[in-house]
Amino acid sequence: MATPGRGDPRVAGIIERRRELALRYQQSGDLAAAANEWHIVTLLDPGDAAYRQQLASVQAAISRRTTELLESGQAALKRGDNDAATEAMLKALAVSPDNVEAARVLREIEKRRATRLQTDRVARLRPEDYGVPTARAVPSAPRAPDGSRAYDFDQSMELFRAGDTANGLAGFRRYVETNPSDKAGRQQIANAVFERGRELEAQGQGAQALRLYEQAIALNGATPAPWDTQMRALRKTLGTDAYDKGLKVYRTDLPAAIKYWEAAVDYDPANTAAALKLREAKMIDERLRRLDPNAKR
Amino acid sequence: MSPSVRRLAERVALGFAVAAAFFLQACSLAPPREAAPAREGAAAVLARDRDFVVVLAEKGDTLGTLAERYLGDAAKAWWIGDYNGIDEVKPGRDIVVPLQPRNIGGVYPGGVQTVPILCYHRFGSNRSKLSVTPAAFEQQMEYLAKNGYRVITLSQLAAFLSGREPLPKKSVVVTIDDGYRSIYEIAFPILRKHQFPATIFLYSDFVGLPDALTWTQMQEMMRSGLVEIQPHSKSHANLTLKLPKESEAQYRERVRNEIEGPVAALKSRLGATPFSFAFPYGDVNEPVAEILTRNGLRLGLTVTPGGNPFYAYPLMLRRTMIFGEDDAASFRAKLAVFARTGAR
Repeated sequence: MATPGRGDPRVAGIIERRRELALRYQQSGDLAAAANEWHIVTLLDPGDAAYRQQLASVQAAISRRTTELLESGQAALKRGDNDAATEAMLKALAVSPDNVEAARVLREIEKRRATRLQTDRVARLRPEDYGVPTARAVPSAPRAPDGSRAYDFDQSMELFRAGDTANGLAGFRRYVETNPSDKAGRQQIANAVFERGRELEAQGQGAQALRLYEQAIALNGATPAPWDTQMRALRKTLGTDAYDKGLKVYRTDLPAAIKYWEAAVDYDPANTAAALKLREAKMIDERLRRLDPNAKR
Repeated sequence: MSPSVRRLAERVALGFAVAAAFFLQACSLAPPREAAPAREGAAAVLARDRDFVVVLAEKGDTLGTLAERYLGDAAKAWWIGDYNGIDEVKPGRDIVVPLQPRNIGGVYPGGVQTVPILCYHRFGSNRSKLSVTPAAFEQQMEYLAKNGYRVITLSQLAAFLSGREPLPKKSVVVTIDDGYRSIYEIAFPILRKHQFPATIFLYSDFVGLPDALTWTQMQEMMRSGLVEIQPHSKSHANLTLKLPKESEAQYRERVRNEIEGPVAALKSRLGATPFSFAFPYGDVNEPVAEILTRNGLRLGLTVTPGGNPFYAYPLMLRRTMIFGEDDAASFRAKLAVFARTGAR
């Protein structure tokens, strides 16, 4: 192991280099770094009174400068100049990194600044953008150009694709309302919604699929022919299914049959069989009501 | 050479003479054995007090071995590196080991240290604004690893904000919102490769949907020691908005459920210790912050971009979104690790 021995010039060299470094820091005004270097120099050469004197001198300068800066910062704070107060407190910490008062004031200012920033941000929100219904008709001003609107839209798209339909659709509605001229954007949204509908239909969830088809058309602002064809076919299927279910329960549960046939007609107004059965069932139900008004159905 | 320097040199020499004598005595008592190779990595102590140790590095010394020896923890290697402005130890170089954390807040005449919290969402080959491709994520993590950035945990950031612990100069936090399955499939292997920690903010209603993480996947990631799971609300509703005709009491009750629901779920399903909360859409108001505090959540994360200095308000931390469209240059620009001031 290479060991610095008696008279090893390396030790003297280290002290000399650190002494020069301390002076450079001192001259540049970095008092904290200068104090550290003088501390190390005195540690390496504790017998040298000149070094100890230098350290004491820098420490005294730090103390004076810190007091000045704290007073300056407090004065700025009192006159409401938070930027000047922040700058003064940061300067105080730069010379005196452990100063508790400067850190406390900075935290206080930053808390107020962050709270005001968030309050402003929230004030620009439109409740309906987030699926919260409201009677307010006039759109608010666009949000600040901090990427938040794009974020909200993209977040909605991601949530929707991930299966969070409610949040996704709320975001889509917001985008379409606030960007009525962005036809490409509307189409992209509508396509995504329609595609999700197709997926649900393929999984046998026809009713949910139909709702998404309707949403897609509303968001798109028009009904492309292929979509119309797909919707008509689904309506027919759903109408037939509901009609069949009504037939199954007709003899044992008339009110349930009526609900099924109402749904069948609602899905597919062209389902005349369901319409006829519904009319017939309602007449029977009416007759039964007249015969026994208190009977449970 | 001044008399004082000579005294120091004599003291160093005396120390080594004593050590050598002790070594020779030990050799004389020990049974004969083959000559040991020259011992490496035992820097000579030039001076020390309660604040500093000054050593002369030997061959084999590293920042890690010095930290292990003098600070009792190799993970504190960066204390020495940052203080001396070096990435590695060179033999013959004098190294100052600060025994106490210096400048915990990272304030310098030219500016102040800030910690960027990066916010990801989803990963996949279909790039979109909120979906980052695996290749881009790998490149971004690679960039951090190769350029001296330290990915720290949110818990470490909490200690920094409370003034308890300093942080490496180029500290970065990685967070991932919502709880997409692609975190497990794409991001986690990359994070594990680099041994980078990350915090996932989960909205609990998402679990069970096709693209969401499962509890089992979350447990596995947590077991790695790299991943923390923290709450991001129950339903991802914007917590700052009141419903029509909702009274103040009803609103607060709803917000309470949005915060307490996922906290309880994370505790019971994962044994997690929630201490932070990412606001859906990044929005927060005073009632939300107040309910957070009442539930013991110390950190709140917005999506207001920028870095966080030590004095950042912990309940409204800045967080910078990383988008699918970010290239290497825009990613680098988002790594705000230092804010310049006119502090000189």
